[in-house]
Amino acid sequence: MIPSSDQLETFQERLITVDKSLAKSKSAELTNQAMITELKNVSKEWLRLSEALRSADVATAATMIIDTAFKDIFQSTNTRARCSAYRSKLKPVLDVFTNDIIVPVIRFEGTPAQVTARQLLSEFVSKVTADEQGYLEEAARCLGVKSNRAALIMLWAAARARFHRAVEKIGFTAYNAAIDATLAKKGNPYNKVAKQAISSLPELQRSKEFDLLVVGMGLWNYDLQVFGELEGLLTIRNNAAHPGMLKPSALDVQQFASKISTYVFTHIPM
Amino acid sequence: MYEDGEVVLKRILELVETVPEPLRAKCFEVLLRGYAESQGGGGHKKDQGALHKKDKQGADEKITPPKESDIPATALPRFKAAAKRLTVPIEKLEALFDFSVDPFALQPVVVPGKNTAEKNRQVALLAAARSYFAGGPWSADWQEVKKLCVDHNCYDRANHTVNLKTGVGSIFKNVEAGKPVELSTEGITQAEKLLKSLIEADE
Repeated sequence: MIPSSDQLETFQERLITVDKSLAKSKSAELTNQAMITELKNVSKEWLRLSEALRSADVATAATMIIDTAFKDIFQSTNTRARCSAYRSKLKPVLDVFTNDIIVPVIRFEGTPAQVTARQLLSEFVSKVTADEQGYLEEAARCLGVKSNRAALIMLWAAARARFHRAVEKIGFTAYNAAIDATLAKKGNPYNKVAKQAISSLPELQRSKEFDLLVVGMGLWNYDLQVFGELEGLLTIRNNAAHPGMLKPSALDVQQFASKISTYVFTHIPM
Repeated sequence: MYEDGEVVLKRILELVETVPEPLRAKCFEVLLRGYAESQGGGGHKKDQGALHKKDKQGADEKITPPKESDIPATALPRFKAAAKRLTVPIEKLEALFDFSVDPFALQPVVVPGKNTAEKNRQVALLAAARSYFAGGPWSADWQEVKKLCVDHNCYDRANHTVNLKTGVGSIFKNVEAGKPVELSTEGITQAEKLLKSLIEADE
């Protein structure tokens, strides 16, 4: 995960504090153990941040320059070194940190694509379990890199996880009874449900999602209109998962997420 | 052109003589036109073709209604409603945003404000407006506000949060570092006024 500009600004403030402390001792040898430890820690912390920045391909060139400086600082902590020597190694870092690290990260995280990705996650706050959150975060990452069809698929995966968990919670006996009750009804969409008996999660995973949505009307008391919306979302998901001319925009994904949040995560209990 | 005109005309007259009297005038006309076209009258024919093509295009244009705007269908109702509220043409409102990117972004504008603090708050109003038009709430994403402030050269790191917090109670409901900045009713009014002023400034 890419560090936020807030994290990087805090890190920069930490570096400035270290630099100011070193400045007080001028060219004396650094013997303050706490300061040596702090230099080791900031070096390690930077290498962690740097790796995350490079993985997102943000400010890559600058991170390499700063990596070299911090590796040098880290090595110096195992030898006798003057405060002024540390400061001269920190100077190139402090010189470029704002313009070459913080500003590119601010520009990256503030793009509308990243904003939409964050807004997608905010739709589901306090409505989802940790498992479901995992799918949603993956969907948000897809949206952030403009992989909109992939985002739709992951959003539906979160929805399906909710359905499966809800079935497990009520038990397969109750679910099978609901299937039988559905089959006893006449007309569309009830007559499209396949006769089946589910006794385990793998069997449920293999069953048709359409059936689950129809049976869900009896189990969780949502009406035909909500069913219609859910069926529409399933169609969009299926279109996104198969070759075709569908080209969903970021706003389409956002709308899809909003509907998933309303119709699945509100009606199907956690 | 028409080098052999005299000979051909003589031949045409001979041919005309062979048809019954009532048809002679028509026969002459047809043969003469045929000769004229074979001598370069094709240009006229081409022009006619072009004209037909143009007519066809015109007809196509009539059949296909002109594209209303580049605004995505999902966002269009909010744009229309806002344009109506602001009493501005929708295309003027549309011009404040860049729809060539997905999702759409704000076009570069001159952010009004006497100082950095005021500009920060105006930027937050703009970011909230973009969020609203994109189908979200009237709230400004914290990171988007920061980016826009950097872009508009009004990002003061030490005072950024404080500058925004000054708007709490009037235009913002709450300001917490890293969290979306939610607009109050007054904030929404101010954001719409800002959009209108940017449109008017552009005229």
